[in-house]
Amino acid sequence: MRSDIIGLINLRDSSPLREMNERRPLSAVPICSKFRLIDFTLSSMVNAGIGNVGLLLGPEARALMDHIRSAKEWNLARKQDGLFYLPSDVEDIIHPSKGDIRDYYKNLRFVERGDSHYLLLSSCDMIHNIDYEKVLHFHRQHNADVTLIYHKQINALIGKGRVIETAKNGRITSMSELKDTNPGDNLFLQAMLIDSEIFLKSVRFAYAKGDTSFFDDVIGKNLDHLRVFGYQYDGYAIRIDSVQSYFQANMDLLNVDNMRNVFRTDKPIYTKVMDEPPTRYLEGSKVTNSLIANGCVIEGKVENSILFRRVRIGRNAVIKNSIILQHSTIGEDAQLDGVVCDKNAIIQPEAILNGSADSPLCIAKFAVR
Amino acid sequence: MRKTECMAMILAGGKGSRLGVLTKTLAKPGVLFGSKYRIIDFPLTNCRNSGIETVGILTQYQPLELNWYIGNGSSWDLDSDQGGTFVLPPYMRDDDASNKWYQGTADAIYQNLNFIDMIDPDYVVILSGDHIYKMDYSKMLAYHKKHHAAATVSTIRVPWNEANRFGIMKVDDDMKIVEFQEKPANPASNLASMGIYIFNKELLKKYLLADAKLKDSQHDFGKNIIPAMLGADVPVYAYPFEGYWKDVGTIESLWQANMDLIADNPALSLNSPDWRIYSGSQSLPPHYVGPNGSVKSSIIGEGSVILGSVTRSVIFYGVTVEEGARVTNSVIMPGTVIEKDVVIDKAIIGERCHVHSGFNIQKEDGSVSVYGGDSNLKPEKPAVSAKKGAGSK
Repeated sequence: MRSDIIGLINLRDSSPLREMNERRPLSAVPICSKFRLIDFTLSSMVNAGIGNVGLLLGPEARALMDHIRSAKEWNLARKQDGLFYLPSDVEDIIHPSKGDIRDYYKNLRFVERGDSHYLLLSSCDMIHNIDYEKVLHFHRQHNADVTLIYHKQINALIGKGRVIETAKNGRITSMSELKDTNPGDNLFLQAMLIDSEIFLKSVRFAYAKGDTSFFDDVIGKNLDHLRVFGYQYDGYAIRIDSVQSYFQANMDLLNVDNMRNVFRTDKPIYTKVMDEPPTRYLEGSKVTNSLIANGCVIEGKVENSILFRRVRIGRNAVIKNSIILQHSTIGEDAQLDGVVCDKNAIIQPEAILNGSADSPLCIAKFAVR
Repeated sequence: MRKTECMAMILAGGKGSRLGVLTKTLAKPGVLFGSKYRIIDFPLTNCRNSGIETVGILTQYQPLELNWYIGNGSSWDLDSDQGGTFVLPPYMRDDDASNKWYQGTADAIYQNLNFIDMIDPDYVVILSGDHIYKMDYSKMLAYHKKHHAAATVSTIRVPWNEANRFGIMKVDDDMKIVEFQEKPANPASNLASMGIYIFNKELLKKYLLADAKLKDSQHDFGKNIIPAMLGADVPVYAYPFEGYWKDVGTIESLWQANMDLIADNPALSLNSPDWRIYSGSQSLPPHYVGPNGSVKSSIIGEGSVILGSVTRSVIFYGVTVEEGARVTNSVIMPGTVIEKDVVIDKAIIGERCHVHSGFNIQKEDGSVSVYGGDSNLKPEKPAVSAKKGAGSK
């Protein structure tokens, strides 16, 4: 484990997927059969040898804390360092802060006690498997104060995104926030490596001045004073900020290239161990192009879909282009296409439910349809 | 620390020689089973689910992989400060005469009486590390106490024609054992010992100390300790167990036990949420079935990629079945790669094997083919295309 970098993950910086009719924070949204969104960011940090990570929790923290618990699965249940929960206080809830400066200011103690040279500051709404060791190498090589990690967009992205432009040497020349991003844009992946001293100093200063956004007010306004560089990440990455992008991310991982890019044997994505039994395929099952978690019992037909743990697919049911979250039961002869079925839902026999990739039909947790 | 009422000792030093290549470098309790488990997961899970917190595991034959797997017992929740998992290998000591390997099941426990004294429980459960079953030992302990037994032997009804392979008990109306025969030619009953015992600790100690002094004893619970107790008229009871129980001693029975899991209603259910089977975990992604893949009547482990077809088989984690490959009636252990168009029927393929295209596995006589871990299976002649010179340019 290394002591030169600590991680700080801001879970307050994202809004829940309202369509999924659920108040759990985005970081705890189940994704890709067995994971929660936080697993990707947290595992990448652990795989880079970071042994000291703070989680800046939002007000709705139950689902997330139930998932992470002692952080044993991420090897972060340690005598010294390890995982630190940085919860909201009464003021955060009654008078939510605009921007993130106040959140950082109130938790500066975490960064101070970490006493490390670098801070890796990240949000938690991305699927990726970034090698932060390479980022650190880049950061040192360029003698940077701040290194922003970005990704060249392949497809247009609906929903706002921060886009950066870099000079030939990698130094960032401008940053802007766009409503929609286009193919070829350099999308900021909401993760940056920053010298801890600079972070501490600038947060204190910005808070005193009344600034609100670390990205806009501290970095954006100081591109001339700070050495801010952009590191291009070439692997698969997607930001989840809507049900459409949630749907897209799950479907993207049915592609073997994307799958191998994110799920690497040398950099595993850790998650809470549930000790589910292996999935059972019964006589009548027919499954193609699908990701299936443990604990399922499949009797029907599943095509281009994602099944989470302990899902039951009844005899002759047909599931296409759908995402079925853990513990849901699909009745016999039911037909689903373009559906996102949240946890513990029950779909009655012979039900017919249709949605599309642009507008997936969302079935709420514990719903009976 | 609070008083320990009951602890378990798991005998895990056996070689399982009839499992051949599968136990060449691995003790039998470490043998992989059922897509994600090892056999020892079953007794360890039973301990955890029965409220036993202190477990001693007696190892001897090829312990490396088993020790690595068991670790501190945290995978089974057996790492509490109130108990814990203790791996107990044979060890050297002061008096030369007793520097020896474990001589039998009773000797293995005898050599670790210091450990039992250290924990100082009221009762000791003795278990085999190589049986597949789900059992609540707390029920057996309640039965033991209810009968004021000194020792209780867990028993199961076996088919009469197989009774001569087991330790067979004759009991009175109260289930008190009146006679014990080890592998009798003409069995008087079909009530067989499962090799699971509960003893009052002090009495166990007394009989083990006495047995250790006997030169002609085989130092075995079934052959020596239980008969000695019956001879002294100590109350020994038979606990009737009902349910799935298997001692997978041979390749054929290991294959069969795996196949038992793929029935639509398997005799041993791994899916009951109130009796989860715990095991070491691998941090693998979900498994993937490809666009032309097909899976029927099978169980598949995490991280496997199925691009070909799998029928009536048990596929472990991290296995790759490439396009066009056909796997039927087989057990494929972790990390194995099965290349394009390979046909495999009725086989057990060990861990991390590589089955190259053209190497088909099928036996005429219907027996189970078995390949040990890390085998690199290539056809004798490389599969060349029928057209002469293809690929030479």
